Amino acid sequence: MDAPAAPVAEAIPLVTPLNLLLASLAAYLVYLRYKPTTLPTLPPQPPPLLYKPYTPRTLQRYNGTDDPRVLLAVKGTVFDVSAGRSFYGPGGPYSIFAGRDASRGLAKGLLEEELLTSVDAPIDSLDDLTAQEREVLDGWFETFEGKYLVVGELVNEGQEEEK
Amino acid sequence: MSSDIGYVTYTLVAIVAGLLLLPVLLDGEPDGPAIALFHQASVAATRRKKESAIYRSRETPFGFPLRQGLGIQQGYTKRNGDVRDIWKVFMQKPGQLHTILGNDKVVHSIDTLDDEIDKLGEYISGLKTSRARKVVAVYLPNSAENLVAGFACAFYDFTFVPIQYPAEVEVVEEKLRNTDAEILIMPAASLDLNDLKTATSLKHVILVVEEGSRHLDFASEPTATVTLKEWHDIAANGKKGARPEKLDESQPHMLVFSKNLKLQKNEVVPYSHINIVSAVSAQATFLPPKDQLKQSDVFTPASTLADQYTRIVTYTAMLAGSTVIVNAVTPPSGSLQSSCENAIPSVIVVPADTLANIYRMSKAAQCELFHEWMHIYQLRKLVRYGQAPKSSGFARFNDYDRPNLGQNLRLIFVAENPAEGTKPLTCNMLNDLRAIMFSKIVYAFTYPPAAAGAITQTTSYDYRPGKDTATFKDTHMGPPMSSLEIKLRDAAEYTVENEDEPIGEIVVAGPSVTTEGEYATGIIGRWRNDGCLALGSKD
Repeated sequence: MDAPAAPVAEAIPLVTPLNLLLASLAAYLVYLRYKPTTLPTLPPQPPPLLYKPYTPRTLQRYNGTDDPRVLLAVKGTVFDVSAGRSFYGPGGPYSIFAGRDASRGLAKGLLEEELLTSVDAPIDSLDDLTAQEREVLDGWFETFEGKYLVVGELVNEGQEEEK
Repeated sequence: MSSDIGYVTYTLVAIVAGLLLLPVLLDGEPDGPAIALFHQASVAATRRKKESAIYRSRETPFGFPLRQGLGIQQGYTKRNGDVRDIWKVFMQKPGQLHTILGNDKVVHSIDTLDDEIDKLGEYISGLKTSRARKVVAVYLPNSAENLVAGFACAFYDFTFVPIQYPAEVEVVEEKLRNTDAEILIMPAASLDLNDLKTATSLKHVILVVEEGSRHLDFASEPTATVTLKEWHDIAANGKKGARPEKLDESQPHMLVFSKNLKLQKNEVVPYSHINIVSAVSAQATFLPPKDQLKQSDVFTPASTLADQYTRIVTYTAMLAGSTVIVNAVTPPSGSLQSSCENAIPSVIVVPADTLANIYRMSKAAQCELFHEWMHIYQLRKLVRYGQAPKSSGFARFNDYDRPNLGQNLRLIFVAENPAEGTKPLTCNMLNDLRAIMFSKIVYAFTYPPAAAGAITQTTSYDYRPGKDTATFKDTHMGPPMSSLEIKLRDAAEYTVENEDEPIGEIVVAGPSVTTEGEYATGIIGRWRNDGCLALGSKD
């Protein structure tokens, strides 16, 4: 087999598909390096809830049915228990307390509608509780404080403005 | 096909490979996680009417106590400690105290200084004063004596009154009068005592005499109406006292002079031990660990130690066991370069006005194209790659006029103080200054009547450029310190229900705050969505 006569010094074309590809890749890499960057953004934090006074009547709305938030009051402090919806929300075992002053029921450990103060009556002063019941109530209060958000206080009708 | 692959192709392959590999090899890591800059403060879930939510440091979120003190281990418990513990910790750690005197460096023996504390404490305890609690005014430049006097006051339970040096006689006189100081420590022959005596309750003066002048007898002046004593005399011949076990916690440790913006007058602000140690420990843990003050650091206060922020940062450096180098020459009376010369510090504190001047001078000095290119390159490093520029021969080649504080400089503390009327440093100015000084910069918001140390402070790796417009220069002061909490309250036309960012009067509370409970500063602040405090409204 004869080798072909001296190889023809073929002019290598400057523009070939491969060169074009490499050149555009290089250009793209340079572009990536110098393109203006925008800093990533995180979603803003939810706005803080307003700490405000509730009356037994205004509190009643927040039982999970009329308003998606579930609030309840213990010893004059209103807690947002929406995080424990499965307990305090509609259908939950403690749903009776939702939107109500739960102090007496928690102190006595009873889930009875009659025990809770009517929304039209003034706030329960809890004066007649026994020492043991008071202790139980304080225990509940601490649990709520540790677990849920304090969003307001329970006041009698007509006292909202003073606070 | 094979004939297509020629030198052009090989060159292109090399370029592509270089573009892919070199960034991996050369770019390096950013100084801090950029994502952490978006929510820098811990925000309360509820707020009161006419008030914003309470903002806290991420170190001490809600449900955790604010930083109370040094947390010094004692047996199985931790105690808050007081200013005395800063000196005790400094003695145990390998950090040293040096003084720069012109071209000489004096290395102090810590044990000798410890003796001086006891001798000075004993001498002052023996002085007769009209009130039971002794008030010691210290009118000294930055020096070992200045620090020793401060700790002697802590150990022997005197009230410590640092007075800025140098000052006019009238200024010193007014400060002595306002604090009822009966004891003054000052450099020999720096004030005419007969001028002072007339209007103050001054009774005793301790004179600090420099080594070269000690053959002169300053203490026996026949016309003196106060008792005179020389510091070196006490140090050499004094008796060592016994340190009292307990301090009277109800009394202030330090009295600071500041203008009260709300009352529009100068006042004397008392700082308790708790104020100071909580501010020091909040400062010590504020920065990410790799930027915190360490034993390997050389710290120089390039600002007067009479300034409370400078003193708090100096105490932080001592607590960390850094080597502290003090120089009597400090801005604003001296230049920054001469105050750091021969010290070669790695961390410094600088007054905000000095830094603003450096910015103005150095930007104007960037007159060559090379200077501008270098600056643009360094800003790009900062903003895009989150890396503080480093000093190098190339970066300093054909350099323009800017302070050269040595190769070691890595961190600058600078404080905004509205009471002094300092001009705020904007985000872009700070970035320029980082490139000019080859250093990270921590920018603090202080207000001496409200709190010891800083109230808020920018993180060391916050290099985000400011969104400046023609009328609005973006500037912020970072998230709260861990020793206090902040909220904004409606004031005048400013409301926290402002649609974008709450605006209102800055109200602070916590262990480093000078009053029990809340302190309303009267300064209007704006809380940005990234958890940083900015002063003033946007328009």
